[in-house]
Amino acid sequence: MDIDEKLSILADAAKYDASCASSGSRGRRAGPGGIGSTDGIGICHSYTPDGRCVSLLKLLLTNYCIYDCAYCINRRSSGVRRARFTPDDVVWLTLEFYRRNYIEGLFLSSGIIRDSDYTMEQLTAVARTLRTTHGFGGYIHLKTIPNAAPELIREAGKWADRLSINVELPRQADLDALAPDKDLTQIRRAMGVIRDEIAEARADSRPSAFTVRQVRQGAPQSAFAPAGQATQMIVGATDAPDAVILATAAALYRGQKLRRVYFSAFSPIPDAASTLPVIAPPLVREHRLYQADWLMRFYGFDALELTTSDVPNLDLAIDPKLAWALRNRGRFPVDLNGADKAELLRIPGVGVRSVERILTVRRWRRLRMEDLSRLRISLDRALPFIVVDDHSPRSLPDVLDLRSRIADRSQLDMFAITRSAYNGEL
Amino acid sequence: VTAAERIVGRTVRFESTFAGWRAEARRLLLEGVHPETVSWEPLDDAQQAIAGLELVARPTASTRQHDVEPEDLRVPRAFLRLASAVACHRSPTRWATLYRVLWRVTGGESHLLDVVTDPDVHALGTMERAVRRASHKMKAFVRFRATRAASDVEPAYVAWFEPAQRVVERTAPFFAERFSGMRWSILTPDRCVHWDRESLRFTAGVSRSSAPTDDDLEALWRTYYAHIFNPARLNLEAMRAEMPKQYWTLLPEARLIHDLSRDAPRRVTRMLAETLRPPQAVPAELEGRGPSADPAAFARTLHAGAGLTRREAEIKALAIRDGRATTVDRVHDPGAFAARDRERAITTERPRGLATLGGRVQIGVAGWTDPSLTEPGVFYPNDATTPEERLRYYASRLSLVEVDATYYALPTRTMVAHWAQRTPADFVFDIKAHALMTGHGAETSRLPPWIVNALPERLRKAARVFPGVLPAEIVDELWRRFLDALDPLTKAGKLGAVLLQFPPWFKPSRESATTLRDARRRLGDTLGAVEFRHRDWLAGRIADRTLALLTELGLAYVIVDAPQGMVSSMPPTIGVTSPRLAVVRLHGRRAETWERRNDIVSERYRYLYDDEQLRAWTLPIIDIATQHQGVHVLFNNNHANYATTNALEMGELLEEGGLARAGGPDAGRAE
Repeated sequence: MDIDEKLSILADAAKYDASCASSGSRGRRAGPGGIGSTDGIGICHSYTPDGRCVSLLKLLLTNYCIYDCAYCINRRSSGVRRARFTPDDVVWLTLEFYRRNYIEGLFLSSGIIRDSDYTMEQLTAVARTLRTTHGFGGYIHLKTIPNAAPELIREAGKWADRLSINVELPRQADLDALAPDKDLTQIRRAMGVIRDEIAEARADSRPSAFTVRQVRQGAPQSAFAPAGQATQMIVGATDAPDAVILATAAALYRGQKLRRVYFSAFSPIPDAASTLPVIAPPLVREHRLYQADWLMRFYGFDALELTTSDVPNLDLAIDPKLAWALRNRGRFPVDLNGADKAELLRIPGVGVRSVERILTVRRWRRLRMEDLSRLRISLDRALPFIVVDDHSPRSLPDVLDLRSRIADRSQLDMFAITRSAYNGEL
Repeated sequence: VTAAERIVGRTVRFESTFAGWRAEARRLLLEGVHPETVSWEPLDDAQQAIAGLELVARPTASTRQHDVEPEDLRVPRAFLRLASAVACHRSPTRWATLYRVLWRVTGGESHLLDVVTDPDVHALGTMERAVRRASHKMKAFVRFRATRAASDVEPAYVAWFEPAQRVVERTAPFFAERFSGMRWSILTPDRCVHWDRESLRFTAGVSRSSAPTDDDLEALWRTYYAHIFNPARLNLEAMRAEMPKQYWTLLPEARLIHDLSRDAPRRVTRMLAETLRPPQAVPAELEGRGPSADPAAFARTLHAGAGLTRREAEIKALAIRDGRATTVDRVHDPGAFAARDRERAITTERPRGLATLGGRVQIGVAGWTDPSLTEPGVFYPNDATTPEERLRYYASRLSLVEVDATYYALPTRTMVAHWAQRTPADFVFDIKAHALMTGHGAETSRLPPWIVNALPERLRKAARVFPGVLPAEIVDELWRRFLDALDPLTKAGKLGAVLLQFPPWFKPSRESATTLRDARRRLGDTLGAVEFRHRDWLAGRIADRTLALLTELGLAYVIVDAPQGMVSSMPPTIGVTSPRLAVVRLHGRRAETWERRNDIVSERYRYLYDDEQLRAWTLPIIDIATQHQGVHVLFNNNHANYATTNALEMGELLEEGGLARAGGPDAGRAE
């Protein structure tokens, strides 16, 4: 099988992993004669017609797998075509693509072959070869096999910028139904190994960057997974409601100190197992979860505030911040000229960066209506909830009216939803 | 500002760069020239050439240049940063807006930049974001193409790019850092930048025809692009927002967008309608049934990267490989150092006496000081470095040990007293009889003087002596002293049996029977266990007579597991000849080295039993244990931690089997 054919099969196999981020690592530049750098801010080198960023060369080392997870296109009982890269194939592709500036680096995952340790060792070998043999300073994200030996996970973290273990589904019951070979406890334990190594590397204040020259001499990058740990949950493959998904995400942020939890709308796959729903991927739901995720991480919301016991799922028609505001009308309107930061952060249509701008400008001037658009505030969502010197909402909006007015527009504007899911302004 | 000035105005012609503007702006500001009277007219490239201005490298309009400002002209650093970015914008109004804001910032509104709602500041902010974005998109969308002149060893990489703003100089350092080991050029209509692995060089803009048109890798890149796309998630709006159409002509992959988008709905429909294809089998070697991974390479990895010692790494590597190989392939030789699961062997709490079997089964290995066992990382914790610490550790894991040192040299009371002191109450020693007690030759140099002196003169210098040449009373004295030295163990209740392992030439005969009777007499009350090494002892009807004789003498028969097919091979016959004890001794099954004398001993025993082989022994052992007072299970596959690993595994299996036999966990606990 030639490399083109392998590439097509193993890129196909990799596309269900949502993350392609190359961000969060520390600054690192290529040493003399080397290539590759990271500056903490990811770069998307292309976008496919699904609107998703192509930042890393996202591949599976092989799509053979001895596991049989129902949601996965690569499960052993699937009839999908199979291929296997050698570690050298992947090293070559990464370097050649990188030299032409197609990519920021590599995101490598794999089906499980032989056993977890063997698979993990193969993944690590690619990262190690890139770093030591080729002095590669670009971004490397390795998928971690949860039940691989801790020694192997520790070694992977020395070469990779980011490690991730996919939790896949929020509850063990969901895993039992669709991924009988996966064990949530084991996944958490492996995440714990990574978390502790990261913490230890930070506490030791191990050198904050490694130069390619050091790597060439065989000394591994001393810090451990400088871009931290991430995970992915599949949305819509089981009946787990958003409340459960968000609580799981919150627990992972808190307990495992994850950098990101990615949500991946369950997408129909070829050769789908009969236990799976045949649906279009719930993209809107995925975006609402991302928005809720931003609210938890940057806006001071608790997972429990975002859904209610009566309605455990996020409103698909409006964003979760607006939905929360409508449920808590008593807390509005908020005076932009007087409210504190926490209050400002809870206003629909006022993003984190807008809040910073408001706080800065307020030191010198009082805010008026004409200023609002220059603060990059979304007026149609914000106006019913705010007071400025020459504006106050006459009365709080009729809930249904506002909801339907904004909902209609957002429904049509998938693009707007996507954007806010990416840039976190809502 | 006088009306006249406002009308007359002032035209400033300057080099169209941040530095050019800055020089003029500073001069105007010092002269107090009001922004409304200035008309900014930058020279274009051609005019600059005529004016004799060179195109010099000014990467990122470095802020370092601005550290030193004239005393009378303090400008906030933030403004200079903002201005250097805005200068790259293509808007013709940028120079005037910059000067206006500069005028205000230096004229009393020092906080002006904070007021992002101010129309001027807002305009600059908008331009700055556009420049940042253009620079970011340049980092993202430049596509190098490899070109190679005949003389080049390594290719040069050339890109054609059309930046949305004039960001070439600002963005060039990024490429220099990232691709420092390559020779590259980025050609644009505004400016070109070149990197020769050492420094950046800027030249005038060119047209697209100067750039290479293809690269072999682009086909592969398009393959990747097409296949990483998920047609079920088509979202063209989101794609266009981040990758505006103006860039598409620069991107080799963009030519696929049209077809991929058009075909997406059809592909999804077809995919959902498709019937299931039959699964492709996972190839045997990926299932773990084929040739194993290269453990040596893997061990090097673990050693170099995972902070393990070399030995630990080898053990780990082999354990990983063998975890599968031993159960699937019945490959019994995991290699130089390992056992299959050292971690489990060390960390699992294992019952020392097997409570489920009434404490009657004890398991151990032959010798706790074998050099391959005491190697660091094999069995003992690193802090167990003295013989005492090793014995204590050993006794915390297993409840029985066979002492082989006594075969080579007579034990002393002191030594034996230490053994008794350093082990828990339920620990038991089986002691191998001295070579001379079982008709073997012994090294003369290791014999005590009272024996050597009893030898005929001509034999005193011989390397080895055999008991046949010794007077009977000397042999009796040897037995007496041997057993006397064991007294501390006997008193402590820790003496199991004295193991009489006879040589391969010790065959069934009247004479041999006499030897056995003599042995019985000399042992007195001490329990003896007899291991034969000639198969005739269990051949046909002789087997019954052998076992009957041992039963009559009250000697325990040693049940043997060893390689089969040789004269010295004992069949694994279950014979119980003493009501007090049955002994099972497992030597490994490494047939190819079994009878080779000149191999190192640890090679002969380099054999790890697999689960199934061990399990086969559990039923007979449990049977014996339920009918007799005790069973000793001794592993003699003394190679690294093979014996200890198998011993611990056997403990686990017997515990399971015993529980099953006893009718479940509750019955077991009731003991």
